Amino acid sequence: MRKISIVTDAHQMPRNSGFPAEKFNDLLAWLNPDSEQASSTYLNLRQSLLKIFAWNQCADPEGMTDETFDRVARQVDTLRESFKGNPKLFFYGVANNLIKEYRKKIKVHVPIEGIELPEAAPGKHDDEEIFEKLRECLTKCLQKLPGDKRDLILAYYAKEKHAKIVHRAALAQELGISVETLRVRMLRIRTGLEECIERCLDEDVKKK
Amino acid sequence: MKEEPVTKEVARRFLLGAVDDSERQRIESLFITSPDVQATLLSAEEELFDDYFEGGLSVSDSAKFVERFGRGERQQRKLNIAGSIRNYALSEGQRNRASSSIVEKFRHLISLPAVGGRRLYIPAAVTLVLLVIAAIWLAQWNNQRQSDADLRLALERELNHLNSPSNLTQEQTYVSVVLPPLTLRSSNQSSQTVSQTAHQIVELQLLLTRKQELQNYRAVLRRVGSADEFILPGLRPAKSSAGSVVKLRVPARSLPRGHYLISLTGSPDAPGEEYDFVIGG
Repeated sequence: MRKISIVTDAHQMPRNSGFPAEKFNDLLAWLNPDSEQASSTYLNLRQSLLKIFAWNQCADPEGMTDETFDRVARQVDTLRESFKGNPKLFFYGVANNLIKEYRKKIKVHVPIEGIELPEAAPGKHDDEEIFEKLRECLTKCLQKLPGDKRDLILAYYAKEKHAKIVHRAALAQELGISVETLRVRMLRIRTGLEECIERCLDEDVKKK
Repeated sequence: MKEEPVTKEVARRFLLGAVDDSERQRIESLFITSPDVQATLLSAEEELFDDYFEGGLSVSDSAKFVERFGRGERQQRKLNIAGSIRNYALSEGQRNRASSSIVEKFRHLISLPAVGGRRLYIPAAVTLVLLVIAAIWLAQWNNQRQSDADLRLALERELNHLNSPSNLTQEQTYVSVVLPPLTLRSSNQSSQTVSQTAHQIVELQLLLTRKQELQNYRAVLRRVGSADEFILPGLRPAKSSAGSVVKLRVPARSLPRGHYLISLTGSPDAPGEEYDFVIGG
């Protein structure tokens, strides 16, 4: 079965989606009839669902976001005919059901995180290695960022406490945007950077 | 019933898990459908992370934050990543500020005063000589800066390692020095001196004076007269023979000699304490 290949950013695609590309196109069309805008609506919705699953402390936000899209895609033909209202709310309804299912599941199973295990404290070598690797991935991922974004994130976090407030106001003014908009823009850049660092750290674990 | 708008305050409560399930669902569905609510929530989240890393959250909010954003290995890793980005940007910022102030000084040196309303122009040859000297000086300065940066990075790494939670829970046989806060020291009492040659690593026990112990403390270590700061968040209080202390391990051998100040803060509601020590030969 052909897999989805519409969205350009590879890591944004559903990972283990079993539904065909045609269904995905139907899903996009249902989200937004304008094909140009449908893609960005999808990406925004995907990011929002990821956040919601993370806020609800779900162990695998990406997997659950994929599952949400899978579940909606299976019903998209019926939905196009019968659902009235904002399609995003239907997605949220499915996501919320998944959150409830997840909560039930972790109540039934003894949470691993809650068990007091004898602490296998990482040794000096492990700690240093982790710190070293994190630093290496951070540098690597910062280099991958476009220059303007890299400069912006470094400038944004360059000061703290009271100095930070004045500094960020000046940055926002320089960019001709509000401090709030700057903060959201920064969060998006930082989220992308964090994802890159996580992938980099995971790759390192896989290599071992 | 009129629904409460999703303000910054409401967003913050939601992010800290302090809302009931129906309110959670209301806010999440607005987050999905309303760009304004989306911006409010993302902005509040960014602010919350800033406050956490700067030690600006109250004790209960700090506990809620860790429960929501730092539970389990995966989330802890995310939190470490977010913290490392901030630390990296902070140290880059400090480095840039230090270098720009030197450039400013240099610029001041080569600018000439105006005499009688007319600016004096230096002959081309003098300018050229000055430029060559400046280029050599800049190259040397740049090498020095790079080596300072490497040294700083190594020091930061060592401090982070020595004070990581996993390391602090292990009993080690380090030399301990109890430091009372500056506010409690009498004026004729001098600063504790730590000998670089005698001790490789020293455990500073920062004496806590307040009755109420907090869960987490954040220490900022800096040498008097230097702009460089080392931030060590997530330090926990411990009991020692001197009383309640926060342990801070420092690599005495790697720190440049001089007078050091430590600012210890636990919560924004309580003022912080300052401690000092001297690294001697």
